[in-house]
Amino acid sequence: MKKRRINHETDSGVFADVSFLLLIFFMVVTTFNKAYELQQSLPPKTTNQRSGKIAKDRILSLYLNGKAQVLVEGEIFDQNYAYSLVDEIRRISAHPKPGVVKINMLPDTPYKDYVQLLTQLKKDKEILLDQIAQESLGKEFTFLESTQKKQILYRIKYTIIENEIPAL
Amino acid sequence: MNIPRKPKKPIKINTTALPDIIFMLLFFFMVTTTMQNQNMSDLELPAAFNVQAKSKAGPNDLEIFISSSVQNNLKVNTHIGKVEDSKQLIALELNQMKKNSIFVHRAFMYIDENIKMSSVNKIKEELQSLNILKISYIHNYESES
Repeated sequence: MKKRRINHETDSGVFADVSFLLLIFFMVVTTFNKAYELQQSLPPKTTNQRSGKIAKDRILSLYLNGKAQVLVEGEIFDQNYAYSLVDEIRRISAHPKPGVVKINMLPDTPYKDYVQLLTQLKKDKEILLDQIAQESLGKEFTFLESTQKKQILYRIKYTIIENEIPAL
Repeated sequence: MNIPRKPKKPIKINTTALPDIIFMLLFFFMVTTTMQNQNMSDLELPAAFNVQAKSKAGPNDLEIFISSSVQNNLKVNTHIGKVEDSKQLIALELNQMKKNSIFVHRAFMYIDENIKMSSVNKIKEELQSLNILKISYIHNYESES
């Protein structure tokens, strides 16, 4: 008796369906690594350094200890958890003269902590801009006209001073 | 005159190439996919020597890379050396640019996350003394709210 030949051909039509499913999955979950930019303007180098006292209500002192912690006016915050500098920026902005944010850091403070702090300052400034826009004009900052934006931006002005503290 | 009508032929599209295209797209997305991470503690800064593709710098800009993974950890445009030799490296690059009538406006800094701030501050001081006062830190942490 002759054996019947078995057909070993595989149906490849399903491949396309499976690939489509996988393709859609990866298209949905894909995020491309984006590079962000933090801009900074340095003051020109001068030989004669100005010294003078800055009013206490105009200055916000921040200390970075190199362990992802930041000391804000006597209170320690972990940089990995949410914290806010909005009230502090509002406090220094209330002064008629522009405020001063002084970032004190140790020589071995990692760059990551420094970038996180600058980012936090930038974010909190944006939150404060929105708050003031809502309080005075009843709108979000982004929806204001350019002249109104300028008025609000003028109210939140501060300079960042960086200071490297020698390690103990 | 009775013209004989041509019989209608069904239009067939050859779909044989379709799975190949899909596979190609699939592999592309499989390779480029990074799963989104919402944890603030996992701030990832670019590995300093592998970020040329993301470069935002123009022809008048200086690109400074500081890496923590190689011995010669400083790269100023094309010149490679150590952070301790930053003064010479920056001067070398600026001289070369000056010869080509290029005057630097801005410095783009690509720095590994665990680099100590003393190294960063040293380079900032060098830039300040050379009157390059605009600095841009390039990082991966989402800062736009």
